[in-house]
Amino acid sequence: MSERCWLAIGAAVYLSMARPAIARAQSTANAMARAQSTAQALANVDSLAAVYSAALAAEAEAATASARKLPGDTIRVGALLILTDARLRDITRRAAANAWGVLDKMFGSTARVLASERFVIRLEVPAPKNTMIPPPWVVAPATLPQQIELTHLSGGGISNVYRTPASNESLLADALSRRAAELIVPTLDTALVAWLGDASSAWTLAHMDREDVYRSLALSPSPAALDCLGGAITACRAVLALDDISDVVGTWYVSPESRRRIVQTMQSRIRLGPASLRFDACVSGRAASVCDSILRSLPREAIAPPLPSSARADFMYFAIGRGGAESFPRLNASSGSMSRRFATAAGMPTDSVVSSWRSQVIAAAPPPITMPTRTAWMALAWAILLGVVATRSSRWR
Amino acid sequence: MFRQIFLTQWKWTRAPLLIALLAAFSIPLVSLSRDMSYTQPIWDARDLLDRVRSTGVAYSALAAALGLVLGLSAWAADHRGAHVYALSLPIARWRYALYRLGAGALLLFLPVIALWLSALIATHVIVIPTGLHAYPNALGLRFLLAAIVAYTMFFAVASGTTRAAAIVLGCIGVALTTMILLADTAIGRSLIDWAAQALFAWPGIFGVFTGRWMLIDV
Repeated sequence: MSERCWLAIGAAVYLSMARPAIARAQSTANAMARAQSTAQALANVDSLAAVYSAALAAEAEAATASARKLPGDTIRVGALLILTDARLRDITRRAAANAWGVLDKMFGSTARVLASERFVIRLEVPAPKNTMIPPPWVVAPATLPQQIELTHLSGGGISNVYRTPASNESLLADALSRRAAELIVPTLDTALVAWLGDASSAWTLAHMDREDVYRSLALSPSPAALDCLGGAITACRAVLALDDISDVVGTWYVSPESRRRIVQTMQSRIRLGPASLRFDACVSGRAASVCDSILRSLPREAIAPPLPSSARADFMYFAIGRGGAESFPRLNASSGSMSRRFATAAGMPTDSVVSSWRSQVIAAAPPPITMPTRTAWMALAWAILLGVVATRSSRWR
Repeated sequence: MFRQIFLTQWKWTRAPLLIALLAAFSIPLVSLSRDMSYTQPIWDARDLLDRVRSTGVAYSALAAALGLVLGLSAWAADHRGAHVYALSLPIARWRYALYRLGAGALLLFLPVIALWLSALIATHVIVIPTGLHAYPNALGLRFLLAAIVAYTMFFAVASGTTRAAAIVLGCIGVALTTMILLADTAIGRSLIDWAAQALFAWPGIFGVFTGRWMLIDV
């Protein structure tokens, strides 16, 4: 074998032995390069995060400044003082006029307490992402473009935010009257507010559907409610809780079945309390004495009234309507039983008010179930058409 | 000739008609059976309405079933006999079909009258709570019209050839299948809404089936 051959073999052996070492060296060099680039990338990320945080803070600051900045235009309607944008001036003026009409009709001079309040109506200020503006500057993310937000200035900050779609004047008026009513309620006589019960719903000033009041009376588990529908004014007074009732269970739920029913409707409340074991005996076992003992063990305010608070609110609106101007302030300022207070507000005996209200409720009874005439005619038309089709069939042709 | 056709149709359908008649008479009485023992106005009007409402679907179902049975059975014997009897009669096809239609419609009145009488009896026996009202006449009228629509529809389907009936039923089946398959898609939902609106809202063919089938209500 020539020397050249031996040299070639030696080179091949060397290369084969050296290849793993070369590969390792290359790998180490790559790893070092990667480590360097990762460190650099991390540094870049940190740098970007700092810039991003600063941008977010600046955005939040801008949003806060925007939220703090109050609109420049002022609109006054009645006792309502509203700050608004120039763009919303017209819609705000109309909505405020509507809202004040409702408030004035309902509360009369009592609504003047609103004179010390300021409302803000403006296009919604969207909150920046991933940030939280501390209260009282409550700005929620925009859910719809071009929403109007209604706020109320209190204690140097802005209170709850109401949102309505832009250009919806009636919704804005409704939101304004609602918020204003919420501000009036704390200034009212507590006994009156307690009589109404669920203040949040009763004071919505929404249009009362008297047909629903009729349904409430007709479908109430209380026999007294049915007696009221039947014409017993005393029963109407009882279900409206106009007089001081010493025994609400005996007055509202005089029959054993109605007591069982009312226990059943208060299931969630009773099952949580000490009377839970007796619940089944009353409802399933139909043990009248057990139902009585359950009801007697509950505090008076826990007994579900025969009518919802909306029915009482309807009666109150009716009485105020009868009393004319300033009847609500009279109602609010008077004292004694609710019966006497409503007589003072309406300017007539309570029985007369109750009787008139009952007549109105009965007049608002749902229409009887009759099939619409056009439905009946259409059914006949379909029947005739199908009959004609049948006679024109060509089974044997 | 109408009398003969009426009598033969009565013979063919008297068994299912008797069942329908009993069912029609029972539903109003059963729906208020719990309340018939009370001599005082029912204390819980809401419970009473719930019971009455729960039987509402039975009226519409019975009306549809009645229409189906009478409509199909009116032509069943003719189909079986290859229409030989009808062809042997010296009258036009349309007049023969009209006699069949009229005979079935007359028979339809038997369960309707039974339901109306039963509703009248039931609402007179119980003491209806103050504030609620009984509607036996409205219920009877609604039942009559619903049964007539169902009857004429099935009568028309059965009066054609088997091929025509298959085409009609096939179209209905394809439409239903398509709607079921597309139920989860926006197109499917809008299709279902559209179909429901077209069929059950005025002036849809089944408009009379919708609404409140209440014997007693506020």
